[in-house]
Amino acid sequence: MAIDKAVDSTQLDADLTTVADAIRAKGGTSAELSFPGGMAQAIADIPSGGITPTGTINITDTTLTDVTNYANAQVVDADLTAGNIKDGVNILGVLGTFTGGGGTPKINGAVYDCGEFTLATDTSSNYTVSHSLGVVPSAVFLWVVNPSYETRGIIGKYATDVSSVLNASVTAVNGALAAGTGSSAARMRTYKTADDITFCCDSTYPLVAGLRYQWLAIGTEVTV
Amino acid sequence: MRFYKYIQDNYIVSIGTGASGEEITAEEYEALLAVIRSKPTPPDGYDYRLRADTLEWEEFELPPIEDEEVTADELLRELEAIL
Repeated sequence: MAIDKAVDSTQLDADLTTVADAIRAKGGTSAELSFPGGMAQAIADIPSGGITPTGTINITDTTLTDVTNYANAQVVDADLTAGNIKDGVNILGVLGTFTGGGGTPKINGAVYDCGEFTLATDTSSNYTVSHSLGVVPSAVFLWVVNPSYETRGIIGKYATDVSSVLNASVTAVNGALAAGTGSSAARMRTYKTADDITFCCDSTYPLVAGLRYQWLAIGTEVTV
Repeated sequence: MRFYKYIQDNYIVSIGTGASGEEITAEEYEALLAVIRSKPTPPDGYDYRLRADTLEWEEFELPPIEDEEVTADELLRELEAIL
């Protein structure tokens, strides 16, 4: 071995002690460490660092990207349901079934609502349906869908002034709704509110059980 | 589409679509429609109503038909409405 440098042994011992103390502190021991074998083994015995990822983090927002320390991550949103997704569109494995349109449907700028009903028993008094216009309809129509009643016609009346009771009546346009009445004129009043439509029939022109009636209510223009 | 049934005094008055009544599934709507369409023919002076709890038809006697009395005011309002 060639001697090419002079060493301050006191300084060397102090430096080695500093290194050994650091190893002992990290390894949790107070044992003496030989150089270099003891120190190398003590370093090798120190467990590797880091932590084991566990648990699951719920990702509830697109701004949440830090999944550190979690074994799993899952997207969670109560609104992520089939009914909230357009029919046929698959988002994150949820196949949409929603078929509704966007916004409030309108006819020539006027909001409208429609529906249908089938009675279990003939009625010759009042029958009320709810609508979602939020305003008193300016026009209401009622007709029968069943094929055998196609020619029974449609009743309806357009009323521009919904404040008058005179405009609350609905007059038959073409024939009656009841079975066997042919082309005779019929009348059926309706009473309209911002929530309901009441069809007021009588024993001559009842609403007939089993038939499929459809109604259409047209509201006034709504400025949002 | 929202399906509903309208129940009054434990009898099913009607079923339909729209904002009325108690919301039901499309399957229940179709099942009730089939029951309503199979309503038996009542004897004269009687009709059937559909029990909501058992979905069975119950016969009842129809009330007698009385002539409607129309007041002069009502006639005038009708005429105004037509004119």
